[in-house]
Amino acid sequence: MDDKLLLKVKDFSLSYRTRKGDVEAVNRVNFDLKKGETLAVVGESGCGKSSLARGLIRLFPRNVKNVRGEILLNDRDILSLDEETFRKEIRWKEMAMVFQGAMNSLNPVLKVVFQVAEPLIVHYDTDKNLAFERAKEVLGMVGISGAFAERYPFELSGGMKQRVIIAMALITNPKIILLDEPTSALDIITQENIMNLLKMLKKELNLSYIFITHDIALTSELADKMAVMYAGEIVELSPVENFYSNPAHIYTRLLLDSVPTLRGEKKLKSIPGSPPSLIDPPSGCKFHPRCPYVMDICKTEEPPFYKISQDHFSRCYLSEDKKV
Amino acid sequence: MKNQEIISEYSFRGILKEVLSYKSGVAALVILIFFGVMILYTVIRFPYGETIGLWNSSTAFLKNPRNAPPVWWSIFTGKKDPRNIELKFNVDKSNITDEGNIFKTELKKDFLYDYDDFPTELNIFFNARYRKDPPLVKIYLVRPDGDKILLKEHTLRSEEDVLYLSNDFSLENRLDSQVRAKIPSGIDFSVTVTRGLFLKYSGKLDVLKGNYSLILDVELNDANDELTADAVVYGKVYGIAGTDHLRRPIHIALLWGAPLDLSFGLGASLSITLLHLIIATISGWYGGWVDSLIQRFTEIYMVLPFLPIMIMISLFYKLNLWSLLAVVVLLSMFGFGIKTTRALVLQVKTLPYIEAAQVYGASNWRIIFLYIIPKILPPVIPSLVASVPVYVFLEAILALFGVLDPTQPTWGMVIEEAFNNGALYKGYFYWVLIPSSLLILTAISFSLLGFILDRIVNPKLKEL
Amino acid sequence: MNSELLRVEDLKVWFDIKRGLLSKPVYVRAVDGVSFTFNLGESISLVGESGSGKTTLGKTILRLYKPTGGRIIFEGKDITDNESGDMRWYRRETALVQQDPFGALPPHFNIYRILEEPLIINNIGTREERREIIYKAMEEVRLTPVEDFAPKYPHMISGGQMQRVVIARALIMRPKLVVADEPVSMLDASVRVEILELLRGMQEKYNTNLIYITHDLATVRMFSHWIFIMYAGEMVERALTRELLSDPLHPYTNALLNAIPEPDPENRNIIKEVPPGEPPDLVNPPPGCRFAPRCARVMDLCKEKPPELEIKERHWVKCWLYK
Repeated sequence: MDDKLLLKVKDFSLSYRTRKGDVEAVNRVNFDLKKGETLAVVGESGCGKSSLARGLIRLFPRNVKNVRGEILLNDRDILSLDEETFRKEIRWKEMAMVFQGAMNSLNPVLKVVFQVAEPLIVHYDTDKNLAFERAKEVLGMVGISGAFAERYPFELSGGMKQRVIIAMALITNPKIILLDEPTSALDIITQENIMNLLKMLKKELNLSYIFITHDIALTSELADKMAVMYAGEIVELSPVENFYSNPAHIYTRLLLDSVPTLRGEKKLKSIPGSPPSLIDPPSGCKFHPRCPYVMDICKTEEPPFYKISQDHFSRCYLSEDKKV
Repeated sequence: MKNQEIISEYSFRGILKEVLSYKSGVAALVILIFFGVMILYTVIRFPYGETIGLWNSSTAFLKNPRNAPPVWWSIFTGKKDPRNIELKFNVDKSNITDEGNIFKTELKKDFLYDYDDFPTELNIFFNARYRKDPPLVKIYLVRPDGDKILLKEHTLRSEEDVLYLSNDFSLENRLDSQVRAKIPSGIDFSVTVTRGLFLKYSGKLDVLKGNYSLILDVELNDANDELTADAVVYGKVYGIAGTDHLRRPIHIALLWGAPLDLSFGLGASLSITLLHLIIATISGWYGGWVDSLIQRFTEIYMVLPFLPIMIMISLFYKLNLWSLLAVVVLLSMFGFGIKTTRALVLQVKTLPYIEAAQVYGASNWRIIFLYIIPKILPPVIPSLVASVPVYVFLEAILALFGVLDPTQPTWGMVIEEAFNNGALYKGYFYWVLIPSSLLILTAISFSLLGFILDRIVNPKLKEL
Repeated sequence: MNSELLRVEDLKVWFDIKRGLLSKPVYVRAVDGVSFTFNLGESISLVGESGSGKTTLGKTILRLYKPTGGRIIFEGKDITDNESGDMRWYRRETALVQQDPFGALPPHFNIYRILEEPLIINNIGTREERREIIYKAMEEVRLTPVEDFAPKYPHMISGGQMQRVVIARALIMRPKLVVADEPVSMLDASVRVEILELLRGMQEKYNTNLIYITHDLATVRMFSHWIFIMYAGEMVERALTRELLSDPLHPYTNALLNAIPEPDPENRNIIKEVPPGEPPDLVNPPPGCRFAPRCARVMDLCKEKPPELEIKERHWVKCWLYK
């Protein structure tokens, strides 16, 4: 892992305009990413992790508003670039994305090799044959050999389709790949295969991943760093080494307690209540209505992002005492 | 975990609010309320049986002018067009002078005539009861300039008698000579009875405006004889929608057209949609040969030429509105809607709750009527609403083709009679325009409402 | 006490894919020769990946599908061939809990009505009696206050609450057998535990036998006596839960257990050993052992179909390695 900071996200926020009001989907997100490092973002549905990913690659829906903050890629603020420049220089050049359920969005009438080659042809005006060659090369890298490259999507299984999607993200040699639930539709064994692939690619190509998932146990397959999101905010940012054994934020602890594991005799606990409305969020700490350790101050004042150690942060008043 | 697309199960109030949030929705609802009020008014003010009877009698509207435009038509002519003036005369027993065998009395009524144009007709309706011989009446008109003109000396021919003064040749000749005498320089127009009576002797076709009096000198043959008379100075315009060739006020037909046409449209739309729903659900749910049979049937139906069949039927029968409704429903029963609804059914069939129902023992019929149909009903409602004007127009077209029984006053019938009596040649545009506007208004309101409901029920069409 | 509840003998469920009006029928062999029994008071987990046939098996046991071959015997009564008319009694004894809580509830009925339907259909109680039953059921799944929830419609409540309604509906007739098909896979992590606990609680309280279908082995320990592992339409291993988890015999079972992610920070540096490839095509499955093409320990013998062998007491495996 390089020590140079590849990506620095500062106070990134965005909202959506809806008929019922404004939804604060992402709120003051801060994190860093080094080259070759993987950040896993976990959270439940509606916590904002997909919005965050799409925000980073600037794929906003029509009703987005109030995008603020800074996204520094190699010290260059890519959030402030105009759309054209971002499209030409960043999207699918420096950053690529594997979308949730993307394997179902492959064009059914185009052969797989063509779809993988497309970014090269469109973005870089590469000669068609050259692009096809490169596409086959990348497909080989993800484990789709020779004959399968010339197939149509319906002839491939779920796992193979997902590999095609990964190839599509790799073909322009991006530095960062955003993975939004890359395996949620796949069986366990296929999932492990894909994870193995991602691990291998990470090592060989020194890739940085931002890995978004709801499956906490799965994160350990790739993550160097963990971020837990709740109601649009990052509530805990931690290196992976201590994360599972010693989480700081109460929500993280409760989340880990609710995940069944095969080994170990853990007593499972559920979290009462449900995630808050992002149109009319609770005051103070957004988790306070469900927190078993809630204090008075939690109800009125938003807790700051306490620094517990070098890379470990937590947005919880109870973490105040854990400062090193 | 997944963001489900919820097909809304709004309550009625919720839908109403949603519809009102669109400007076109407000417009549609306003028009529909207008129709609602119109229907309510019609049903109360002109009860059906009675009104139909009147509509089809030949003597109900004799006191109306023939083919008169609506009162507001004067906006286009610029003139102040004359309206109907009705003068009622009644023999007052206390006022009879006894002259031996004859009992005389004078009945007089004054009226103001300040219109820019001449009356179209002048008729007097007598109603008498006499023991031996009918009464004798002398009719005089006193003009504002003092002239007293004897219109006619008339002995009643029966207990109910009508004097068509404006058609009286001898009167016309008399007036003609009179006018020419008064205007030596000559005139360039022809003298009719009404013109002659109301003419200003200026040389031009001007009306003498002022206070007129109509005098009836009545001679009864028995003291107990009775006589009433209704004198009508026929106007040129009448009512809110004018009159037709049979002097009937068109607005009666238009008012009754609303409930008739709309119930036809709604009835057709509702029954056909319901039938489609049920047939499509049975077809989609059972699958197999039932499905194949019904689909082939539907395809055959879709190929049948609807209009020619309707016209063929009309060669043999003149249908009344409700029989027509039955025929239309029968001929549309297996229509195209079945294909689209069946597609919905096939989707719903695979939903987990259907499976669950089978596990707790729901029968096929229960699933069809309680589980599938209520779920596919919301997406079907917008097209139900939007197809109402289709059937209303269908009725109008069929009326034009002469398929319908003329005793029922629908908008289509009004237009049909207008055409058959040369309305457009003779310039009676209102006869066609007003019912057509009502038809178009119906189409606009239901289509708008249908479109808006579609946007509500299909969230994908909503814009943020 | 140990009376047999369910016996399945060489069950086959093949689906006909019509290729055309005149061509020969082609079958997807979703379940291809499964046999097992279990007794009253026992619960089993049916584990496998997609395409393994576990869902088809569960639904066929409920007679949502008609078996193509073999027998199903419930409490001594053979229900393989019954037509819908004779199945009324079976419907009262069985229930289904489905994966998608939103799709499992009819959107046009409110909660009260949803729970009333099974009672109405099966002629249980008078109006007032049903009311009591329904309110009690709602309290048991903690949908309280009852008066608040009863008139609500499915789209007004959360996913977790919907699944509780599904469970209440399944148990309202006190069935003997409940098939739960991935009941929590569509719910958020924090809600899953609640629902699983609820299911377990009700199972214990009413002594209901549960067939729990899942691909997530980690949840299996909560309520099963038995684990049945399915692969490509066949049952490859059967054993008591503890036994199977401590001593998995079939290579596929091993692969499955190894593939389950555990929250261990070292995982990112380890490439796990995973069988390559994909499960076989169920229209033309391989003739012998279906896992052979991917098995790390494949032998020549595997070209023949392995028999089911009871290797240890009450631990069956279909694998030539144990001949």
